[in-house]
Amino acid sequence: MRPAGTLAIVDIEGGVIEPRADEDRPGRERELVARARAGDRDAFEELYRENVGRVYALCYRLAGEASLAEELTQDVFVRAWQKLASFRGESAFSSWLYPLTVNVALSERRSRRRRTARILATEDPTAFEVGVPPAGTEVGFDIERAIAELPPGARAVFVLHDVEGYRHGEIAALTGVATGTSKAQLHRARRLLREVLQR
Amino acid sequence: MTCADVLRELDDYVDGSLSEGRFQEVELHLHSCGACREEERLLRALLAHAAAMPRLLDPPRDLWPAIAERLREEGPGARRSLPWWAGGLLAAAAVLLALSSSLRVPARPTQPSQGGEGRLAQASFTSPSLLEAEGGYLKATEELNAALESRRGSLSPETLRVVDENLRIITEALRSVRQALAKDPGNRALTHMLLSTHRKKVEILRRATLLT
Repeated sequence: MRPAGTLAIVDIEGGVIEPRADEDRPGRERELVARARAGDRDAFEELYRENVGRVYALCYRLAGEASLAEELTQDVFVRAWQKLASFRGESAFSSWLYPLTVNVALSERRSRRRRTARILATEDPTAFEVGVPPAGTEVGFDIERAIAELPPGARAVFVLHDVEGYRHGEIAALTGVATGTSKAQLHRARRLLREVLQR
Repeated sequence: MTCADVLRELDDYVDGSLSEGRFQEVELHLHSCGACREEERLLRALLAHAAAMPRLLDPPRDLWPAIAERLREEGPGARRSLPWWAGGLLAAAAVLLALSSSLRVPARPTQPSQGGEGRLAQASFTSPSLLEAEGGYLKATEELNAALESRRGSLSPETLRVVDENLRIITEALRSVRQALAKDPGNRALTHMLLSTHRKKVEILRRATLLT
């Protein structure tokens, strides 16, 4: 059951994401986008408020920590503002925004890996920071924490595949890894998470 | 099927991506193996948890003031006239053009490297390992090309022109490097150049695909 206020699902056909506009998408969103494209920051703020929950959720789960998720969320909306001219308006704004969110989050992960030269592929969950989970996650608390403790590569694939619904070919294109690697990372993530859930 | 076989196939079984024959084999095993059935139950429970996760999460604080400040720092109506990645791509294209024009390797074998490393090239870059490395890049290129081709319609004509032009330059550079390497196999500098050029191509394709 999709909670009220969430946006339309994305259809995936033949391996290609074909976003479709929310059938009930108010003309208001189209108006907001048009005004924001013309430079109206108040309109863009409204788009921010309508989409920040979804963007932050995605950033938090990909980043595994709240403080980084906040930074990434800011980066996403700044990038969206910069690239708004490339949004054609043929689909829901969210259908354009969320792949951009994934790109920003994964790019930041690669930048951090280069800057800090940390060893990322480890089975040791204590090697990774786990921020305080955001409020309102009591129902899914255990799985949120468990996902945050996954090794970054496994976490990214699990979130994209099992939470966000991307296919392995799409994940490979987004992350720059081979499809086989994406499958192996998913297998690893699911195995580690099953061990946690079994405790 | 052994339990190890079933555990390897369990992801595809639950995701519905096994062939009919394989599906039946896994089903048959699960029917008689309690341990594997428990693994299946845990996996389905995990996926149910994932499906039940809230789609929206509130940030701990309002992030708009910080975002607005960054937009103000950009200046009124400041938007880049080119896509944000185009500057880097055009610079990369200029470098590749320079590389291509410098690839005039003579037919005679080069002298062994006597630089700081002081080792001959063949110790690190044997043909099989180069082929394996290049094979990896070619596979990634093929997958990204397919993804980009399927979504070309979502890119603006200007963006497509820049992407296609840079891909053409890189493809030409790869051809030149391969020709040079064929005449001077084991040349360490050329091997580095080949793999580096492959990396650039994959990066350009990846970025172009992300724009779609």
